[in-house]
Amino acid sequence: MDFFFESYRTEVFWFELVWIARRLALALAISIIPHEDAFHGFTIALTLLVSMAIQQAVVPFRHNVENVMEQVSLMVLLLTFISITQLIFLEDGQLSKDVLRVFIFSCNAVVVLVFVGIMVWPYLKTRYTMYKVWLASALHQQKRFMYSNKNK
Amino acid sequence: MVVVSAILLVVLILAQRSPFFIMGTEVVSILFLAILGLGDFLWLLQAFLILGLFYIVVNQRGGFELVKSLLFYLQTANLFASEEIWLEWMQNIFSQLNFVNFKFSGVECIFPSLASPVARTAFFMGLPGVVLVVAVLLIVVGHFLRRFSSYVYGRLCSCIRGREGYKPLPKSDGLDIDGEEIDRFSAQPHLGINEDQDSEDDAEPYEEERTLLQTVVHGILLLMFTFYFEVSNKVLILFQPCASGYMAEYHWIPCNWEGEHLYMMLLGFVFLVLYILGIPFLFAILLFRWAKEIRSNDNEDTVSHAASSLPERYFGFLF
Repeated sequence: MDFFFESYRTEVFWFELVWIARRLALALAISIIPHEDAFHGFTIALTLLVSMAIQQAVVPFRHNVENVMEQVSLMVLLLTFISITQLIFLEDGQLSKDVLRVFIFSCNAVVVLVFVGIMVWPYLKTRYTMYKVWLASALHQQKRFMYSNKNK
Repeated sequence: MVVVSAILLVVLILAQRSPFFIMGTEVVSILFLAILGLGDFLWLLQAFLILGLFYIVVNQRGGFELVKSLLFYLQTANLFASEEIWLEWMQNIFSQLNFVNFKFSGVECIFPSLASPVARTAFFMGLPGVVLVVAVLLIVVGHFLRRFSSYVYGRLCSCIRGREGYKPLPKSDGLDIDGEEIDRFSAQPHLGINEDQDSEDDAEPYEEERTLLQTVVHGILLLMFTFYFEVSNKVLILFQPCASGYMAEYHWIPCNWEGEHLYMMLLGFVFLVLYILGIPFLFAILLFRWAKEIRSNDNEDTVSHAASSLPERYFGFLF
């Protein structure tokens, strides 16, 4: 059960439900509203903007790094979506279209790498400390062994 | 490759208690992944990396918030990427990153009966249930394998060292590194540092470890959460308004509430109730059922840490 609430501050332990509502709103906007409908893009952008505003107002996560990453990822998603709506109107082969594509793709790649880096970092840190402690233990044992041999 | 992977997996499970073996297997695993990356086994490399990341995150407490954010990010970005304005390689990367996208292109070639839209929809809707069952089985098998490996390791240690002649090391006595650090790590028997605990009792899992039932429930909830967005999209797309009298997703099926259209709508309604409404309802019940307990287990340190929020400082200006 801790999966649902351990990330959030106690006052907003139910916040996972808000994020599920966000997923549902996005799924509704993407799947139900036809792509050619004017409300398609509007609803997606509105959902992302409202999510950003809620995240900004509530700051639901316990740790700053998660709050920052959530906000940054929402910003990049919104940027990506706005760019896509612009890219549709640009003709293939235009330099600005290629530059914008690469720029948006790079933004997304950086966000994913930062996410993975933050997730893996504690593991690497733990492993490093573990090996350090293990090595020190082994050296200590060797010292004791040598000392006891010397005394004999 | 599969045999080597299986051997590595077994060695990793058996070696959990010795830092020497952990280091060895990690180095071998990295080399193995590098070989996979260089060869024609990119899909296997991808599977290993995802499993590795999942393993790391599942085994550290409190790491899920970032996984949840990343998952939402990848799933949404992947939906945007399907707008066909990206270059092909960009679209491929987006698609590869979203490992729960349920896009099984070519599945009809393996199972010809899935060629019909109704069978295909039923297959995709039923797939999360199958994955849940497989995940539960894997968790149960993994749990017993781990217990067995602990038992074997405990027995091996007893045989090698002998019960009587072994004297344990004093903790943090004259070591070159911080004694507190050693005590902290010594408290984790699975790291194999605290020599006192290499006895028969070692075969028992340590106290803070999750019970099997907790792990199974945890796995099921995590999978439900993971599937939710993709499954919602798959179900809701069936209800997209008909364009020129035909279904939006399947352009050849007329919206006449007969035959295939009727079956599709029935499937849609069933999974709408089961997944789209059922999963949030289940989550809400679970959350409010344990609300009192959650509030009583409040951790003041982490809450106060969030109060001095960075986003307030930086993003306020942006807004």
